[in-house]
Amino acid sequence: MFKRLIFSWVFVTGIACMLSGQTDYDKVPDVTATLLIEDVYIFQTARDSFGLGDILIKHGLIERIAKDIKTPYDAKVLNLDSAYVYPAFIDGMGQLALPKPERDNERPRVRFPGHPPNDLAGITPETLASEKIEAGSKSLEAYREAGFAVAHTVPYGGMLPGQGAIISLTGDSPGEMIMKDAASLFFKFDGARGVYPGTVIGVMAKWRDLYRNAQYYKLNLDNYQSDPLGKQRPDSDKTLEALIPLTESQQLLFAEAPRAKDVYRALELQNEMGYKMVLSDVKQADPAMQALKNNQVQILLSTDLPKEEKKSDKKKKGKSDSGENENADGEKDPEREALQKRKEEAMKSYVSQAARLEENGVKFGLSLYSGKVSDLKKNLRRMIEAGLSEQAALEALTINNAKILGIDKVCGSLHEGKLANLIVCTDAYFNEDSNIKYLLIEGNVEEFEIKKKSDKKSMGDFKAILGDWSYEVVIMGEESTGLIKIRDKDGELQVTIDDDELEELIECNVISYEENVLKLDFTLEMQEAGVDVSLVLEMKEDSFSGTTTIQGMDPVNIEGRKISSPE
Amino acid sequence: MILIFTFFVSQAIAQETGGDILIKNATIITITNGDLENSDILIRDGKISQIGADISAQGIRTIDAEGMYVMPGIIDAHSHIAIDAVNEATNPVTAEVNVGDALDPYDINIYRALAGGVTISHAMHGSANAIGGQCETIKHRWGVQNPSDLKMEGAMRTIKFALGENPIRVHGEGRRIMPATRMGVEQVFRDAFSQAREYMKEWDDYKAGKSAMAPEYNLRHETVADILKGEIMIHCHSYRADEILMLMNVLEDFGVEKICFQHVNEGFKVAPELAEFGAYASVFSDWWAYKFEVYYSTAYNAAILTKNGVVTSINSDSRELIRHLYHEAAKSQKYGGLSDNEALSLITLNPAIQLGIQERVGSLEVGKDGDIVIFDKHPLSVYAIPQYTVVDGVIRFDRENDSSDMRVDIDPEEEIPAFYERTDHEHDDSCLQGLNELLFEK
Repeated sequence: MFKRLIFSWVFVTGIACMLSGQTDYDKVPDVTATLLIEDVYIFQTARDSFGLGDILIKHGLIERIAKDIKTPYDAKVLNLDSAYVYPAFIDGMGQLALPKPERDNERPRVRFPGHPPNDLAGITPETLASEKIEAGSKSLEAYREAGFAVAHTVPYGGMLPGQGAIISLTGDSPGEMIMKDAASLFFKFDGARGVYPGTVIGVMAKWRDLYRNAQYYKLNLDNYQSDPLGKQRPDSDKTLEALIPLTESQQLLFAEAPRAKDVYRALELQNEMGYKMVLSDVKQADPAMQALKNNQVQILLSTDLPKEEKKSDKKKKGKSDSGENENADGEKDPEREALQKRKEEAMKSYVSQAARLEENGVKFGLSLYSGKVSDLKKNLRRMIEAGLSEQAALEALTINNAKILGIDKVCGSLHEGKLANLIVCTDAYFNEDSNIKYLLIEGNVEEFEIKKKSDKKSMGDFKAILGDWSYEVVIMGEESTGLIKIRDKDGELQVTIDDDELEELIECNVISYEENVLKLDFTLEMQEAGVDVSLVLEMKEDSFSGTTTIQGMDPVNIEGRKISSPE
Repeated sequence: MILIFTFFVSQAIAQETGGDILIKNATIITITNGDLENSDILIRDGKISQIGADISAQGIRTIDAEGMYVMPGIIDAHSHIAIDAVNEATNPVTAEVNVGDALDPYDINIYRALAGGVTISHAMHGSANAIGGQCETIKHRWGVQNPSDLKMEGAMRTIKFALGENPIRVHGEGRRIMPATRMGVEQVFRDAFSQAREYMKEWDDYKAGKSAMAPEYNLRHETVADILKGEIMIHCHSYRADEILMLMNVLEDFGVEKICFQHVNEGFKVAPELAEFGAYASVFSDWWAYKFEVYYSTAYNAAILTKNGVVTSINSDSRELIRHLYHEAAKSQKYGGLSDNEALSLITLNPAIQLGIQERVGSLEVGKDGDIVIFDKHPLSVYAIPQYTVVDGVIRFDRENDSSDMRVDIDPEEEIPAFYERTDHEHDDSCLQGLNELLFEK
C-alpha cells in the first residue's frame, strides 16, 4: 500500500540491488555513514524532552544530541522543520519474520500416546527462532511502517516452542538482523493434540518434571566431567540441555498468560521453581492486579483489545433500527439491557487495565504477539482514552521493552552511543494527524509516504460507477466469482463484496476513487488471523480490470462487468 | 451493580482472615452433638467460637434465624466443577497431574452449588485413566480472583483411580494399549506401585551415597510413592463388587490403607468387606443404568453400607445434582430408613472424613471452620430452601441478595443471544469430560 522511498544516496545503491536481486557481496557501500537531523523536537525518552535540537548519527550510532550542531563535511543532512523524534519502537514479543507452520489436521499416529516423541508433545526448547528467520519477510514492512526497529521473535510450537531471538528489522540476511540469539525461552500452557501432555494440568506437571530433570541432568554432567572414573556415562539430552540456562538464571522464561487464570498459574509455577520470568501476552490483567503489584514480575501486555461492537452490528442484531435491547414487539427487554450493561463494563475493564497498571506503579511493556500491527495506534488511543498516560504508552513500546529484553544499554531511548533507532513524526505522536515520516534503524533511513485521509471531498465523482459489478479472479488456481456492490451512502462511497463462496458480505474500506481508479482494501477474518487484501480497479463504462493483492502473495488480475445500475 | 461490587469488596477483605457472624434463635443441627433448639452460633475470624443460648456480640452481622435450621455446610465428595481440565486422558497412569493446577474461580457452578448449601467440594480428576490425577478439595469462596484461594489449605492430598469400563474404553478400545480388560486395569495398578517402589529405592540409594549419579527424576513415580507412604488418599471410581475386592487385594499387597470408593454401586454386595478394610464409600442416592456395568444397583445402597459400618457419603458428580444434595440425603430415609442424623451425616461429616478434613468441618463444634448453611425448613424436608450459605464466616450466598447475574468473569466480546441454547447434557458421565472426540468420532 505504501510506496517506500529511499534517500538519494541509498537510492543509487540499495534500489539497484533490490531490483536486480543481487546479493550482499557486491553491494556498493553507502556514500556516507554520517547523518545530521536538524531542528527537530527530541524526546530522548517518552518523558524526557530535549526540546528543539539536532541529532548527529555516525555509523549507525547516536554521536551527539545538541542544539545547533555544526554540520560535518561528510554528513547527509535531514532538515525536517519542527518534526518530532522519538526512540523507535521495540516489540516485546511476537513471531515476526518467522514462517507460519502449516496447520496439519492429521492427528499424529503414535503407538503410545502417553509417551510421544518430544516434538509431537510440543517440547522443543532447543529450537532457535534465529535459525528460521526470513530476512525478506513481508511482515517486516508493516512493522517498520508502524515505527518498529527491533523485535523479539519466538518460535511457533507447543508448550515449549523454543528460544527467542532479538532482531533488528533491517538487514539483508538473518545474520545482519540478529541482535541477540537464544534471548529467551518461550512457554505456553498449550497441550499437545492427542498425546501427552494434552491438557493444562498435563502441561504443568510435565513442566515441573522437565525442570527438575534439567537440574539433575546438569548435576550429573558436572559430576561426570569432574571425574568420570567408575561412573555411568550420562546420556546426552538436547531437550534438557536447552533448559539449563533457565535453571541457572541465565535466561528468561516468557510465559504466555493471556487470561488472569494463566497469570496466576504462571506465577505459581515460577514461585515453585524460582526461575526468572516475563508474563507475556497478558490480555486480562484486572482480576490479577493485586498479584501483579505484589510480585513485581515483568509483564508484557498484549496490544490486542476486545473488538468494539460496530454500530452496524448492533443494528443487525435488533429486529429493526429502533435498538438492540428491545424485543420483537418493540418493548424494552430489561434482561438484555442488564446483560449488555455488564458486557460494556467488562469492555471498560479490559481497555482501562493498562491505566490501572500505571496507577498501581506496575511497569509493563507491550507486545504484538496476539495483536495486529495495523491496530496498534488505534488500540493505544483506546487505552489512553481510558486513562493511560501517553508517556506510559510510549515507554511500554520503548524503554520498558528494552529493559525486559536486556537491551536497554543499546536501545529504547535516544542517548549518545546508543543505536540510532528512531522515528520522525510530522507532529507529536498521538496527535490526530501525526504520521511517521521516517524510521531510522541503526542509521538506515526509510521514508514513508504519508497516508492521505480519505475524505469525500477529494473523492472523485463516483456516480458513474454506482451499481452491481460481477467479478472473476483466479487465486492459487481456484476461480472465485461474486458481486462488487458500489453504493452512494449519504454522499460517501460504500463498497461491499458478495463473494459466491463466502457466507458473509465483505465491507470494504474505500481508500480512494480518482481518475477512474478505485482503491479498496479489507481484512478477511480467517480462523484466528486476519488476512489483508487490497484491490486496485480501473473502472470503465461497463467493465473493469485491475489487480488484487492478498497479504504475502503476488498481485493477481481481477476483472468484471457491470450488471446493473441503481434505479 | 454497586451493590454487587461492594458485596465482593467486603468479601475480598473478609477473605484474609475469615469473617464474623452471629446467628440467633435457630435450630442448630450439630451432627456430633444432637439438635439444639432456639440456640445461637457465633463465628469469629472464620471459626466457630461459641454455640449456645443468648450469645451476644457487638458490631457484627447478626441474623435472626427464628424458625430456621442451621447445619454444617454441605460437602460434596465427588464433583468436577471449578476446574479447567478434568481428564489428562493420554496415558493409563497420570498420577503427576493435579486438577488443583487448573482451578477456575470464575465458574458460575460454584455459586450455584452455594445456592444448594454446598460449601466444600472435592474437585476430581476424571475416570479415563486407571490412575488419574490428583484432586483438590476446594472451599466455595465465590468472588475470589486467585484460583489458589479456592483451595482448602491443609486438606489431605487425594488422587483419582478408576476401575472398569472407562479406562478400558479410553485406552484399550480407543488406543489399543493396556488396559483392554478388567484384569489389565489391575496390572496397571500393580506395575505403577512396583515401579514407584523401585524408584524410591533408587533415590534412597543415591541419597545414601550408594550410587554416584542421580537417577532420573519422575514426578509420576514420586506421586505414586506418596500413595505408598500413606500421604495421599485414593478415591476410586468403581461399580462392580468383584473389582472393588480386587483393588482392596492390590492395596493390601502394597500396604496401602487409605481408600474411598466412589460410585461403588455394587457396594451393598461387599459392605462387610469394605468395613473390614476400613474403606469408605461415596455413592449416588438413586442414579444408575447409564452404562452396562451400572445396572445392578439399588437405592438402598447408602443405607446398607451405613448399617454395615462403612463411612458413607452421597455425592453429586454433577453440577446440577450438587444443588440439591440435601434432597439426595433425604432419599436415604425413604430407602433404608436412616435417622435424620445418619442421613445428614451422608453430606456433612462423612464426606469430611473421606476427604481427611473432619477435624475442621463436617459438624458444628467450637473451633471448627465457620462453614454453615441456614435453611428455612428442616433440610430433609422437600420444601427446604437454603437462605444463607456461609464459608469461613463470610456470607457467600444470600437468597435475599441473589441477583439474576452473578457471573464475575464476562467476555466483552460475547454474543448476547435471544435465548440460551444448551449443547451439553447434564447427565452425561461427567467423569469422561473432554473425551468425546476420542470416544465418539471413531
